[in-house]
Order: sequence, then structure tokens, then C-alpha cells
Amino acid sequence: MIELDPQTREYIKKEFSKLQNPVKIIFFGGDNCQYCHEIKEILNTVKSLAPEGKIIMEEHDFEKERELAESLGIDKYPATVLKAGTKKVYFYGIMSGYEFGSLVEDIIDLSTDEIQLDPETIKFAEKINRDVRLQVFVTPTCPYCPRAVRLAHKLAMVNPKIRADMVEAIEFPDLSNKYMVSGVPKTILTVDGEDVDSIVGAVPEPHFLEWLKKNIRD
Amino acid sequence: MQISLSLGVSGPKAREYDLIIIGGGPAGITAGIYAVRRNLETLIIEKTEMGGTVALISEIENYPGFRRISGKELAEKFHQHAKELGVEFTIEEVTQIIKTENEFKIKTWENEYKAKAVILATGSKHRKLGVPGEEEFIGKGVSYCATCDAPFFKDKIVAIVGGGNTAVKDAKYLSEICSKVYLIHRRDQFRADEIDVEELKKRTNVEFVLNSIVEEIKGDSKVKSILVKNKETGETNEIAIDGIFIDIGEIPNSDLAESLGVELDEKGFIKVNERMETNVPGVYAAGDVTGGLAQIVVAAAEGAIAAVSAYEYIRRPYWANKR
Repeated sequence: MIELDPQTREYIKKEFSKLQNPVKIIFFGGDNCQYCHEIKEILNTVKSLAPEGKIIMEEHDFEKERELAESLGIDKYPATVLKAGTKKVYFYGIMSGYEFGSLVEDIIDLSTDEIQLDPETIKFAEKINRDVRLQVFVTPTCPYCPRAVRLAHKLAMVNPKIRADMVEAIEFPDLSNKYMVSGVPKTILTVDGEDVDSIVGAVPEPHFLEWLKKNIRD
Repeated sequence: MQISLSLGVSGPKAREYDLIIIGGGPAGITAGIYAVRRNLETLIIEKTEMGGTVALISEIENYPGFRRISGKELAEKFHQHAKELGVEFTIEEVTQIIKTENEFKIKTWENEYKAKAVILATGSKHRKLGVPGEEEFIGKGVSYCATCDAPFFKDKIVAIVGGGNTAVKDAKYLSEICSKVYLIHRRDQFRADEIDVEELKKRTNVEFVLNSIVEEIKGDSKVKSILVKNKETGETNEIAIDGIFIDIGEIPNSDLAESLGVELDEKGFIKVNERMETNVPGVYAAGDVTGGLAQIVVAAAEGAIAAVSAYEYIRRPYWANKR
């Protein structure tokens, strides 16, 4: 059962009154899934707080609808994609605890198309023409993590060549082991399919930009 | 199972305020509550998450009114209380504060704000051990945040270094998740509350390694062991572990203060008088950044004093003129 106090509900409703373009929430679940029920509950709650038609929810079965999943770039579940036009951001696993804020803020950014980033960051992100993937590993109890998730997600909103995933580390132990995640947030940078570097901690935007510039060259 | 959901904060409504408070921990939030109740337009700028380091405490048992509460929950209550009273919040990192003739310019990475007075409630950051292997293994077994990283060490062996409240609380928390916990402390007495130390002693999977210091953190792709030296016998032992949590105290976040010309003491804490005034008129400080007893209740009290002093500076009420 999810817990959302009345004040927070009201606050989100107020924030969601700003929504402009519709945002699609596409959820992929399946049988072997610890938190699918809770994730759906979170997503439906968020949808219920938005004005009619501003959030469109789709639910799919990953195993039964593999082709659709692949066409959206989804390779595991539970997965949630937020989509507005060509802009997409990904959540693998539950967006509970502190990550709930990331979900709500992402929806507002996608719908209003207002992305708050330093002009220098935007300039660099817009120019990227290689396939960049940022996987941000988190735990729901980590207060630093949303900062890393949001930064990655905002970059993905600037340029569709950048793909950004929140990954709830505990639900994806094999992936966490592969990237040796034992401290969060940990961001893995993949360029043209090759894992090139990782960074631990919620680093400030200018430092993150330097790190990207160092690792992504034309 | 109940799933809790936490919300961030939306951006501020304005760019000019009476009072800007830097830091959203107990000192900053209490200052905000006192300031808005005196009708000061108030903004709190926090760089991470409301509640500051309080949100990282697994369990709090010494804040009046709450027999036992998680740091996250208390932080949320603080935030909610201030928000309902009209304190504005923003999550941004302040990069510079400039004092002009009548006001302060506060620059963040994203915006520039103006205020008539400033309260620095910037808190502190984790002190590092400074031993070989520490930097190399951050995120690979070396952690400074038990609430963030504990799930990675389920049924594993961990060490905690420190003897204060945070170390002992973290040891309690980790002993419920990990198979074995070593508590390594350089003395044989604890600064932590005795009630918590006594309870920890009863836990069968906790081993106290006292009068001892960690000399090196070793591993390959991740932490495998630590070298621990007993200060009394001079003997060094290697202990196999999967993770190490470092809780050896805090160092003040006083860089912003220093660049503004605020006087610091020899340890880097902001010097304040009993009214929480710094040497720079219009600049106040409260909470862990001023040193002293690093407790939530102390930070809150200092925040209240700082807010009232800032109010007197901004509004010049009759009683302040008499002073």
C-alpha cells in the first residue's frame, strides 16, 4: 500500500495544474516482479492527480509484448517510460521514497517543455550525435539520488540521442553486480554501446558536464 | 508493506526576499518558521534534500515530542511545517554570496537572488579517514551514508568506524541487516549516548574493536579487508569485510562564509555571538556550521535565535533600537 498524505496530494494537484502537453506513462510489468503492484499504484495515483487527459497511462506485459517493449528500448522489467513527443525518460524498478519526487518533476518538465539546465550544459547536450546512455543506480532511501536522476533525465529531454534510466539497484541485483554498485547514486556512462566510465555521488551540474565532455568526444 | 513517497520542492516564486537561509536542515527550517511568523518573505535554499543530514539518520530518540522517529520522517515533518506557514524552498546549490551596500546577492548555478539578510545554516560534511584505499574504494565498499547504502550489505560483513552517536546508531541499524558488524573506535569510551551503546553491546553480531584505528582499506575491484592497529599493543590485524562505513565526525561547510569575509575559528566553524551574529552585519549562522553540540535540538534553537536577530536587523523594531 502506498502512503501519500493529503497535503502532498494537494501540492501535486496544484503543480499539475501547470501541465500543458499530455504525458504518456507506459508501464511494463510481468509475473516475476516484486513491486509491480506498488509501481502501478504509484503511477495510477499520480495520474489521478492530473487534470483530465494530461496523463495517459498504458500497462503492458513485458513477456507477452516483447516487440513493443523493444521498440521503446525496454530490455527488462519492471520498467516505466515517461513520454511526451519525442522526449522519453526511463525508470527501472520502483520510484518510491525520494524518487517519487523525480517522477513528479519529470512529468512537469516533459509536459511544460521547460528544462532548467545551465545554457552551457544545454549547448553541449544538443550537439551530442553519438548514442549516449546514462544509468543512474539508486535506492529509495537515498536523499542524494534524485539529484543525479533528475540531471540525467533532463539531459535526455534535451537530446533524444541521450537516454537516461533510473535503476533501483536492489531490484536489479545482476545489473548492480555487473556495474559493482555498492554505493548510490552511481551513474554509468555508455557511449555507442560501450561502457566508458562511472561516477559515484550526486555531483554538481558543472562537474557532471566536465565528466561528460571528457568521456564523449566527437 | 507500506511504501513511503517523498516529494522534492518546486522552484521559488520570486527572486527578491527579506531573508534567505542557506541550508534546509533543522537550523535553517526553524529559522524559516520563526522568520515567516514575523512576516519576513523567506526563502530556504538547500542543495540536496530538505532536512539536511537529519534525513540520513536511521533513528532519532532524543528529539522532544517523538519517542522514536526516523530521520527521514522528522525531516519531512520539519519541511511540511515550514511549507504550510509560507516558507519558500528551492533545491539549488549556492555558488557565491556578494554583499552590496544594502543587500546580498546570492548566486546559484541556475539563478541569482537578492536578500536583505542571510542566515548560513550550511551544516557539515563527512570527515574522511585519510587512509590508503579510502578514496579508491568510495562506492565500492566505502560509504558515508548507511541509510543510502545499507541494502547492498545484506547478510554481509561490515565495519563502522567512529564512536559518536552517528556511528553507534548506524551500527545498530546495520546489525539488523548485516551478518556481522565490527565497530572500530580509537578509544575505549564512547561519545555516543550510553543508552545506545548499552543496547548495541547486547547484539550478538556486533563486535567492538576498541582502542584501534583503521590504517588501510584493501581490496581489488571492491573492498575485501581492512588493516586495524591496536593503539595499546601496537599489533596490526587484517579483518575481512565487505564494506566499511565511516562515521568519524563532520567538518563544517563554511567555504561560502569564508568567501563572504565571515570569520571562522581554527577548526573552520563560523564564529557567532549569543545572537548568532557573525562579524559581517546582516549575516547570521546557525546549526552544525557554528560548531558545538551537533544535535537537532541545538540546531533548531540556534535557527530560532538567528531568525529573530535577522528580523531585528531588517525591520528595526522599537526594542532593537533600544539595544
